[in-house]
Amino acid sequence: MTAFRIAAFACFKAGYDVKQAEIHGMSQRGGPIESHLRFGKQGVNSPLAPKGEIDAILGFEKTEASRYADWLSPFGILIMSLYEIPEEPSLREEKKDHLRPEVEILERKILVDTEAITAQYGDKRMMNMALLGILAGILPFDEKIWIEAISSNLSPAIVQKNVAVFQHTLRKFREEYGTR
Amino acid sequence: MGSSNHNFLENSGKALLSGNEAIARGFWEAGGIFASGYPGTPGTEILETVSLFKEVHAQWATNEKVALEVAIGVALAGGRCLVSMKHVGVNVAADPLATLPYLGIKGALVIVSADDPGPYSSQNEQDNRHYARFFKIPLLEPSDSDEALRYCKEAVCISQRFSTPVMLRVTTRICHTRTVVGLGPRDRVSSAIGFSPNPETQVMIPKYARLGHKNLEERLKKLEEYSEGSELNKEILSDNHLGIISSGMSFQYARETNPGAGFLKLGMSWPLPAKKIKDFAGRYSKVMVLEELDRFLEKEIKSLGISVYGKPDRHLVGELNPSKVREIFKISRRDSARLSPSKRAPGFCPGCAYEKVFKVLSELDLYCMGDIGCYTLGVLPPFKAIHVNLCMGASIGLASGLSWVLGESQKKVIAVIGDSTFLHSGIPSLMDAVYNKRKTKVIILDNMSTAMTGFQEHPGTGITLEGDETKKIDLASICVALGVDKVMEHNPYDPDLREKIKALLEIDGSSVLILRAPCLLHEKHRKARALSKNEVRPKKREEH
Repeated sequence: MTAFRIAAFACFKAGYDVKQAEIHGMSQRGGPIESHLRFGKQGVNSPLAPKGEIDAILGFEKTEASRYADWLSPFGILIMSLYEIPEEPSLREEKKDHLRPEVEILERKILVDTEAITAQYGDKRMMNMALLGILAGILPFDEKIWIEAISSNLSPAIVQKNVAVFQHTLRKFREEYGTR
Repeated sequence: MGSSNHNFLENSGKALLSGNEAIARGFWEAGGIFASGYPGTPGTEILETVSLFKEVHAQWATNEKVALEVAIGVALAGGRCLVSMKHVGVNVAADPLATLPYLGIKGALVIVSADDPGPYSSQNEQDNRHYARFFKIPLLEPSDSDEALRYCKEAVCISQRFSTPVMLRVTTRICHTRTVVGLGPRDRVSSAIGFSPNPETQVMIPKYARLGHKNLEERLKKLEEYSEGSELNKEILSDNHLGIISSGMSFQYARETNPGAGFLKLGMSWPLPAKKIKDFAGRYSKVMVLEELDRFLEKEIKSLGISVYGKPDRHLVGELNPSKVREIFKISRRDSARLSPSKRAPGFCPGCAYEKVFKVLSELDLYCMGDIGCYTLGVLPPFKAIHVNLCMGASIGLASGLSWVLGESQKKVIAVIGDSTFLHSGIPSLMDAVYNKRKTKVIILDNMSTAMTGFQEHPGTGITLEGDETKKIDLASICVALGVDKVMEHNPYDPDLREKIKALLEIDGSSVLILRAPCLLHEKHRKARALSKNEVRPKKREEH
């Protein structure tokens, strides 16, 4: 999950201790990927946060995101993409912004139409970058650090486009919520 | 895989590395010169990362036994070696590993066992710490990437100092978690390379084996003393009533959940530092052992006469995580079962030839013995075409046995095996089928890749780990040479696939059908690897 690797790198460059965990293996054959990131000024022990204590969840796909809604802490934020990969074509939900009840009840959620955003920039594969822009709005790191993180973790040919998508959502977030 | 930043190949400072990358870097820093292994999640990236360092020669082996034997050859002459494999891979390497401690090796040999509690992508979740105790070798268990690097270096030191192989044991969570790592320079003092024959310590006939065993027991005593004094086994003091003994990732969870408790963190978990454990336990009114999978530490510590608590039985199964650990320490109540959207299962990549094969197999009336690889997914809906799956190369033997006992009157049996798996351990089974006059039917799925683990090369692709061209083995010729009655080759994308498979079943004798079509994703990864290597290592290395 390159997006989390980039986020981990940003935490690292910002001087925090960080641990970032991924579950691979079956991911190349269409299975889900779960990625955890924890950072702090003092040493981080577990790379996984206990259920119910997560400060922010990035849901890169709608159905997957719903599975984890109850892992959030009471003050946690769900940053969720409206992009859906239905398990069967017939199961695709009627409306894009229709939410499952476990997501609906969350007070602090930010829904992002990542498909629409990346359509503007011409590449659907950058959807995850759109969510990263929102995360950058919430976290206390300088934008420069994020851009360095993106540049060092993507091949040069696609860095510029991805930074553009990232900055697009970061800007929109700041317009709506201010700077922190 | 995408472009990764290779700044960790530099000499100093800090980097954010996965456990796998850190082990590779640690081996390089320790002056390692040779590494081998076989792909296996979660440790595949270790060898791939080692191959990026120009001072180390890295190669994929046919299988884990061969990997270890080649490394032993290097170590006998003083080389520093690393062999990496997943937990079940150690089963394959167990034969040389069992006798190796009887030998005196001059160099250093580190065996990385990448275990898979869960399991996430394995046929079992065996706890390989037992191997260290079984074969009487030191066991090091890092708990994050920084320790993975330092413990790998320490493993090389211990190996060299005590003339023993050392097991460096990690788990999926360590292998695939990125943490901050301190980088250091490469050790410039290299061992002198040269082989000095000494049959007493190198030829294990019974007379010398007895001597070797005696030496081994003496060495183990010295290793125990070393463990007692080693900084790898660290105590974190507290005047709390609770003391916790732990190792590996379990330590991190325990520490996170009980920050106030006293800790004995075992970095060298075999041999156990018995005195240190006794002293530690004496300071607390309650001592708990927190470990994942088997009660390895718990039982050993109890046999020292120390009273400790272990985890409940239900946690013998599966990977630990912070929620489970909080429940073990009774900090939170057991989570009631929750309804959530059904878990999404993996499947074949779009366009994969294997889908066509399993569609045909699912429509035929037969029993299918499967094997390990992408094609194992044929067991899942909608195909449900595989009936048994055990371990690498087992399909052919299983088919031989099952077809013999069922006889002609019952359904036909077929074995399905991949190219990489066949080369790993299928050949002896096919040889057995022919030799014992079984009419075994085999389909070899040849996608010219070790795909499931990330598209690695193997002796059938004609390219080495380091990207050089080499001889390419021909599967059909092997089958013919083994004396198989009928060997056929076919492209699985061609329309008469069903007829070809039916024809295989009708043959009166042993028969092999090789279905060959390159994995659609392998070429892309090969190119990415070549590009990546050119960025990092443009000069061609001289032969060692």
